[in-house]
Amino acid sequence: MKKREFVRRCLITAGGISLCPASLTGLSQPQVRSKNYRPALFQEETAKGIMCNICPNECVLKEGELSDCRNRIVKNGRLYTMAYGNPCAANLDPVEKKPLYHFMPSTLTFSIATAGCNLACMNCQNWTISQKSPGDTRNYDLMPDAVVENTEKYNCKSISYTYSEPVTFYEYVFDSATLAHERGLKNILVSNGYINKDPLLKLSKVIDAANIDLKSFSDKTYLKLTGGKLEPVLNTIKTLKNNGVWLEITNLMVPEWTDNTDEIKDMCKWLVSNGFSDTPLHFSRFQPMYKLEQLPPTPVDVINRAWDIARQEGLKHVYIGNVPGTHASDTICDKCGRKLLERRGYRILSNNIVNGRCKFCDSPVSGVWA
Amino acid sequence: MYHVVTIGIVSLILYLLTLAGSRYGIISRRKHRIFWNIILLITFIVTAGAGIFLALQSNYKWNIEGVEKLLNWHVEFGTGMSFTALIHLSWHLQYYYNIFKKDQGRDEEALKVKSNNQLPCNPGLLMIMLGFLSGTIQVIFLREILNLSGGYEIIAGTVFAVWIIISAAGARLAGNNSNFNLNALAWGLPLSAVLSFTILILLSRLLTGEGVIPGYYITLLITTISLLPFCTISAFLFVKLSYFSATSRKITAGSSFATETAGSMISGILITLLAGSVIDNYQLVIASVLLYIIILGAFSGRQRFGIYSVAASLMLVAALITDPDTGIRNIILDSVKIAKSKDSQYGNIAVSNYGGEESIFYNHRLISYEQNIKQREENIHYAMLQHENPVDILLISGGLNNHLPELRKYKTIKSITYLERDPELLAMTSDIKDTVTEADINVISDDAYSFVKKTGGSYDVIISLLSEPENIVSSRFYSTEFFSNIKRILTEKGIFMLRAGGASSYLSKEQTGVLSSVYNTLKNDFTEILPIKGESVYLICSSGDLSVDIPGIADKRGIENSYVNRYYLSKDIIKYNSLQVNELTDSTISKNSLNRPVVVFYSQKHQMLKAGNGRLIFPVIAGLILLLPFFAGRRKSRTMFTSSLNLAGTEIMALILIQSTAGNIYQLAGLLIAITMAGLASGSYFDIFRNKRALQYTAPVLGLTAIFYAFISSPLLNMENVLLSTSLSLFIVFIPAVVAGSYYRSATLESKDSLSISSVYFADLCGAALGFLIIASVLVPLFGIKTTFLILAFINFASYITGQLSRIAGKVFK
Repeated sequence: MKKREFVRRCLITAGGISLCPASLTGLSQPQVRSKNYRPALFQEETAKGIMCNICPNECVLKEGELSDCRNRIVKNGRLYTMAYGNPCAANLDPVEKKPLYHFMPSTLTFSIATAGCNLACMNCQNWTISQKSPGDTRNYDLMPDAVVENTEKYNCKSISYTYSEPVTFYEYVFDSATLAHERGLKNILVSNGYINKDPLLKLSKVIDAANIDLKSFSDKTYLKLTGGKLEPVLNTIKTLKNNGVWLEITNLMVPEWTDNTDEIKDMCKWLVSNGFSDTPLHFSRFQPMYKLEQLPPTPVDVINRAWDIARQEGLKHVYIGNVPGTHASDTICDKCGRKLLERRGYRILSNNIVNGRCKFCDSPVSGVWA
Repeated sequence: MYHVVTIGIVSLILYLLTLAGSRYGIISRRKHRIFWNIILLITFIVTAGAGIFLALQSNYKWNIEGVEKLLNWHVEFGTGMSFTALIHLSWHLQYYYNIFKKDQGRDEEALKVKSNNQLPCNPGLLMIMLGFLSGTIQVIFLREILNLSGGYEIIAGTVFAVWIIISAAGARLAGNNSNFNLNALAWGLPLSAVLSFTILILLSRLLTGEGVIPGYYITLLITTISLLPFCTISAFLFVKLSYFSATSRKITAGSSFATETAGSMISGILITLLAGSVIDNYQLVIASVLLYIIILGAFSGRQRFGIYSVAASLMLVAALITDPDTGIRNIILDSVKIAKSKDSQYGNIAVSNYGGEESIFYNHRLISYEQNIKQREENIHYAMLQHENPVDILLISGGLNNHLPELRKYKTIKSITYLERDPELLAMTSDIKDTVTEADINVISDDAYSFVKKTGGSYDVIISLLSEPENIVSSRFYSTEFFSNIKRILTEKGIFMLRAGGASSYLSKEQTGVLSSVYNTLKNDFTEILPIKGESVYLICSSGDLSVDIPGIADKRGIENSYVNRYYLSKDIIKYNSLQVNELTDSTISKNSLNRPVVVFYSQKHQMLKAGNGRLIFPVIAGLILLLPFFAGRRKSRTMFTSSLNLAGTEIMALILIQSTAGNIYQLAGLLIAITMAGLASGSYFDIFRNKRALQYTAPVLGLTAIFYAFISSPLLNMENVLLSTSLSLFIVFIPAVVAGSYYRSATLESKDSLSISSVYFADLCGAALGFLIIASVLVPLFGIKTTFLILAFINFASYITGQLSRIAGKVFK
């Protein structure tokens, strides 16, 4: 090959690449407005860069680098969150949809989420936001005061930080939740629980209820399915309970991944032995989603078996999700066995809880009922 | 952040400057080289020094302040060194080129040594069998990769591109290599086919987790590694066999090409007749491989090979009477627990039994399952509740058994027409047989587009549960033409409902693009459109009023549901979500039509995001590589390249035209391939360009043909006579195929060596690959059929003009 020809080919290639739209090659940088940047909490300067101490990923970032959750960036030697006041999802949901069955039943909750997540679950139902950066999504302009205003406007009793991963928009959650508390509204965290202890302790002061997704009880599966670890999630569950946050746990049963009955038994045993027998546990039915499309949905029999195991192991409130018409949606008094809350869908058909106690036997029923 | 791009650009500019300086005598050539040698030395010393220091620091945990800066320098200088090394490589390319280039004399000598006796059979027969096996393997491989990774155009284009790039490399390797044994290659070909599929199955298990759809780059990796054995050997064999035939039998390369193409044509016809209805995918692969061995053995005239033939015959019988596909499908879809697998003309149907629950997968995607209460209620009641008195119902796809109990809740119904394209799917869901005996149910096996176009029926509610518009085939069910026909067969205040993509808590920009295009298309025919966010975004359309109070209507009419009721749904939330979706729809996004299936573009972007964050670097780079013969090749290669690109493009657009006119492309696709192959075979066999001066007009002729096709494409799409429009659509590939075949013959006729043959073949393959890669996935969705034909015309004329200019320049500077 002659040199002239080589140069010609180089120029052609460079020209071709430069003509190719950035959107096609995916090389474009996320664009976020300056007002959505805020100095990140829990940052630390280290020899290798700025460390983000919010979650166990503990990203160490150099100038201009994005965190694993795609929400944090180092600019001028400081770590900033890019997810402040720019949620990409804002919806009205029944609180039962979170799912929270023992927390202010039959109320509406104003649900918000920004882009970004600190895990990479292959079955994520919200992958179009969780695996993105705020600059890639179409966002609303909702600063914390506007979040609170909308919550009141739509007659919601609480704000849910949900869909993607609220840990990654921590500062926005914290400010909105603080403001909401001042206005008498409740705050709900729907999270994967992948957060470090100090940030969690600070957040617990303004969070009233949480639903934590305990995705598996095997560290190996956790890593393969989500890219995370089990231990930090278990620590989160303990910390939330110890700090008086109302807690419910969800376990999504993914065929071949997390539907092993021995593993479910181990998980239930751990919950009971660690003082979570009063904590509601929701077994949720998997639907083929995102990268896990070549799987069947969880058979209802398999979920029912898990429900039986959990009850046998001593968990008092076990529910089944994503199966309309299931028998396992009512709340039963664990003392007298009578129906406390008869549910159909997201509605309560009959309520036999009076002042947090069973109407029939007067025993206390765990939860936040008003 | 490292400065890879900046360093690259600066290096390139500096190099061009010193190069220009040396060319125009500003600096000497020696100084130019010394300068770059010094740059290479400095970058090497800094990179290596820093690298060694960092390695020691890591090993011995030296905690030195500012060490991270050293890493920075190591990488930055390493980048600089890499670019400088590339420049050096360009100076010494000839050296590496010579390593692989063999002496032509040796090549010919080697061929002379190998007598005809060393071939397993007659070279013509071997060429036919090569074409036959390649044709079969290509179709089945494509089907399987699409099953594995999702059936959208970029994947299909990528598979074709990879196939052709490896084949081109194999052809090039053959051109440069004299160390070969035709007999071993001929017998190695069926083994390589088995090896390719074995690798495909193993890698699909090894590189993906349970139930995981591989991302784009994993698919690319699986495709490339799997195809390596078969494509390399088949291309190598083709080039060497062509050369052998040309030198020992005086058979032109064009005639060899024609013979190979005839083999592919036979496979195309056989696949059309057998695949899906009589024989399953893997069964077909096994049968084709064994048939190849049987024929080679039978015609070898040698006892040893005859034994191969007998053994293969026995194995063929065993393969045909057993069901290897269910076993193989169970290996691929281990987590699904396949109870039964069947390939139809439209795709693979697999019935799984996991945990005692039956699910049906179509092309490896779940289409129905037991206890799917929520979805089946949403599929039926959102639409049905909008009509006060539904009498005649048309349900398009989605499964009858699932939905029948929901439809039965409406006592006013007098007839239900269920439309399902795939008869095998109807047969596999066995209990449908019971329902068809019910008087008011009419089950029709037909393509929805054709049915809606020709039916004279009238319906109160039409529910389309067809797959989302993720490829050109499914996009026609979301086109202006389809919706107009739907409107025509609806009663005055009839309801039409379809699903327009997934509905999570957030609709991505790409999903919004799909939704907006479908929404704007529907606006053509319907005054009212109500979006409902459920498992999917449901678009309910009518010319009458629509209500968001779905739970209220269900209550009022006494329709008892488990999910679509006031316990799960509220009027206010439905209204809030509908308004949100309405606000998201972008009125500037184009309507989707048969001529311009723009929805596919957005849908593919969404699929690509799912498959790998939307980075389309490979298709872009592959496109640039494939363009090399156009920019860097000789005139002969350039014209071959554009002829093949033109043919591939015409073939794809003919497919789109056929599916739009006849509807059922699957049976006709084989016929289209056969016509293309017939055109190529006749073009390359008969000496059409007897007058060699006519050769130079190949590109303008193709350009004018493309312009003609551009102007007849719209009338073809709208022609009333389906038979005529389909026949014409099928025929449009014939002329480009004949011209491409003839050009191949002429371009290789005067070739004195296998390297020349392989150059033309390389250009031919690159053109075809580029055509498959960009036309279906980018050009047609973005610009439409008519404009794409005009783009093809432009490329042909550009090829002609650049050829003429270089000829003139050659004369001037001689």
